[in-house]
Amino acid sequence: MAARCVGLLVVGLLMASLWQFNHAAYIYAKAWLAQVLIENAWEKTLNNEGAPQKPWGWADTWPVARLQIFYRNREMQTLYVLKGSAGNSLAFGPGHLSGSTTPGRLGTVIIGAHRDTHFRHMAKLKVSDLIRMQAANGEWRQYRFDTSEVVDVSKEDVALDSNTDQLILVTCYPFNGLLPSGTLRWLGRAVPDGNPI
Amino acid sequence: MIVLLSCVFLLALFAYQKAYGDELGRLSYESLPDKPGSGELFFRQERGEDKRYRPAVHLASEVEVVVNGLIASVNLSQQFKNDSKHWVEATYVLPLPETAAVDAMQFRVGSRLIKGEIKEKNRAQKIYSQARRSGKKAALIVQQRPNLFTQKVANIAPGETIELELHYQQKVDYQKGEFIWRMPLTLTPRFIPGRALSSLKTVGGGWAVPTDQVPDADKITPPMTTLAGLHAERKNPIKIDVKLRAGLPLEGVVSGYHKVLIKKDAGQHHITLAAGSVPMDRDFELRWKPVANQQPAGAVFTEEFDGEHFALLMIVPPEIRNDGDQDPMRLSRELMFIIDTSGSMGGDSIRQAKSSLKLALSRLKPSDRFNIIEFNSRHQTLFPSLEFASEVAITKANKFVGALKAGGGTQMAPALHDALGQLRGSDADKHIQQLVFITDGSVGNEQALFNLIEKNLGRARLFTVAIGSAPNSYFMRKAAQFGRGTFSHISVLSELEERMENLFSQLESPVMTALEMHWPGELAVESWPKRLPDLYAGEPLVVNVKLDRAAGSKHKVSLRGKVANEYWQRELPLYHSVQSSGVATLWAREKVSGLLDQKHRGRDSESIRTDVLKLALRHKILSPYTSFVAVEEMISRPEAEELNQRSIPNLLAKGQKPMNVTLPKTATGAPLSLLLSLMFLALALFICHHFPAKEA
Repeated sequence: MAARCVGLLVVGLLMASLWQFNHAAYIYAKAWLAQVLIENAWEKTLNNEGAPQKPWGWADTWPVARLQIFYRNREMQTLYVLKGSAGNSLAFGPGHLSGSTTPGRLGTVIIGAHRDTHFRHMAKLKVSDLIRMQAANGEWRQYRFDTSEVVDVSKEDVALDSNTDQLILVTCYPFNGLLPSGTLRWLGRAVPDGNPI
Repeated sequence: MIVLLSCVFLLALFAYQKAYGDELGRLSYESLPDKPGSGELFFRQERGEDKRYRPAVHLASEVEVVVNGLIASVNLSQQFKNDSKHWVEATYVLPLPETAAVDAMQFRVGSRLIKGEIKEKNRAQKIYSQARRSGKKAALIVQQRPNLFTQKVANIAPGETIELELHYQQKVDYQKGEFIWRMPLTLTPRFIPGRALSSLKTVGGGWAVPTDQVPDADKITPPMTTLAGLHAERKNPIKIDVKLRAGLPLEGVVSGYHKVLIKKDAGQHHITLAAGSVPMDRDFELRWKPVANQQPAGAVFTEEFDGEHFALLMIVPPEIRNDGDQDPMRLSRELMFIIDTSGSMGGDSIRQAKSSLKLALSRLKPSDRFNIIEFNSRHQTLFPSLEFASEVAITKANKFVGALKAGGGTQMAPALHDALGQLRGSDADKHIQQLVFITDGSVGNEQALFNLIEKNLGRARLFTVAIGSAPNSYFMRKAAQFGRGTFSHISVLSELEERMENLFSQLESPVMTALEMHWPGELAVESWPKRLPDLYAGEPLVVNVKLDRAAGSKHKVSLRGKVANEYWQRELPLYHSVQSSGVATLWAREKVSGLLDQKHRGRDSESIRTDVLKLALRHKILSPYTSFVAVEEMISRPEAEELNQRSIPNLLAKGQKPMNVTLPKTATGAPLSLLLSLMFLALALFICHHFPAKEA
């Protein structure tokens, strides 16, 4: 009898383990696969003078920029930034905060992404690391990682300063946090570097 | 067993933390610099070095106004200075009074003057783009809303200044024995409802994308900037100079929101800013009051233009008596209050809005029935239906109002729809139904809202109260017009009581209805507005007319109306008129506005467009279908030089908080799931290991 209970417990645990694993795998797979599809949409955007191109038929967002983040000049991560920063965008790629400056224009461009998918390497960014951003019109701009800070969104409002020409990357903090509902956000600021490329 | 489980859990958690430990160590939370407080800029300045983005083009304005009786003639000159090393095309979204009739535009480069011409809008745009491409200096002004215009100036050389001059005519408002002239100097960012249209490419340079409800959203949402973020010389300064020829002895002249110097000489008042120039961060308002026994009963201004005769008439009805509680109608009022609690109301505005609403609540009589709706992205209603203003209900209402906070979008339509619905649902026929709408009007879908009001008004009357230092006065005035009520402005807390008192007297006094004008039979008259409004306490009737010939010495116009079952009549002799330029232009402007309103009464837009276009081209005024364009013949930009586009930001209105960003949720449940998965697996293995199958 006891053995049967133990057997059931083991089976139950294995199933729970598999179920949780699937859940995580689904999130990672979606985040990875979507970027591949979005890459195609981005190429189409560039070929169509910046006109929005949906990455798949039923998508409610579209790519607005391409980011290239160079970690210590060794590794490069390419990301396709989607319009809007609600869950529907962030599941598939970094999202551009509507209300912040459109990529390609002068002002504060804000891009957010999940700390455990697209922005999982943010902790590796070092001062003066290179970040390149391509706008929908094909033009590239170059930034250097400069400073970072952490804010608690439950305690303070963050004001948008459109006078400053800068790129702000946003992700959850601490970087290895477990619970998805935290209120701390890491803000990484990159400043323009030289002339447009 | 439980001990075992928790042991495994702790172990797994420890292992997980350990794995990421090196990353944590590099950027610990405690070692980060002090966090910014609310409303602060994102990042503090670097020591010694100012890295703020300097706008490439900088704007300085000067406005010269001459007021003759009821007509203000305004000359606005704007200097666009290119401080960059590149050739620039500057774009600036210009706010103007919602009743302005723009009738001239020209620009100056050094000593050269290039006059603008009125053209059909698309044609003007084509002429401008052609000039821009070929390297000629050019300027274009396009109407986006009656109070919002886009200006473009192309091919400004590095270091060069181009001066763009606009001229417009405007009627001065008269209310409660006081004349008012108001000019907006910036705007409150408009909320854009609807679903994004992905098929459209944004070209307007605004922060919003076009939606199904606001297809021109990109053109009416210019970048905004705070004073704090700007260098001293870049605060969009403006100089204001007003020559006021009231034509009546005045008791006084008051500027509501700016310190001014007032000099009196030879029949006119000369008003200038005490500070010389000010940043364009709030509306400018002048008020002047005739001495007590010299208040006008009527006035006629005339002008001959192109063989036709035009007149602007103001008729002031006798003071409507307020019978207070003796008035039988006073016994049965139904009041619906709508208060805007959207994000744009943050800062001073929400305080002003709440105070005015509380003041209004204190005026309710127990026999009145009322309700409150507050709205931002969603709306909520205080009571399920109209409630008598008992002590309990008022206490509850005050508590409700006290707890309101500003935040979120401006979904106005559902709130307005529900408010009008509740009033229409009310059974009693004799009740006076009034809707007091407290808002800054910062929405992009004005037309849809006017349509909603026109279709659902029923017997209710809508009174708008504009809040804040730069409200959307176009929405406020037009909504009140479609709602057959009045509109008032409250821009600073100190004027709240007086303005609300005015509103209460309008709400509580009998209204003059069934207005009719009678003209001498031999004159052919085209008069605008076509539908005469109801008149509330202290309001005059203002009409614009076109006559087939000059009025003779015997000609009189008579106005008839009804106040609380009594008929009233006043005659105004037409020969006793003042010749004044601008009367014809203002008639055309009023007609354009009247024609456009016919859209909401079912006339098809194509035939309206044809009429408006013909009228606007003939009278040379800006309209939704006409634009001014000016092009210099000479080519100034060498072909090899590129043209850079620059938008000039508008200043954030005084008392408003800078636009806050809502940071996204940036974590998924994946790491937790992965950890749980590992834990369950570890536990299963652990159990298998310690309780082998031999017991079975």
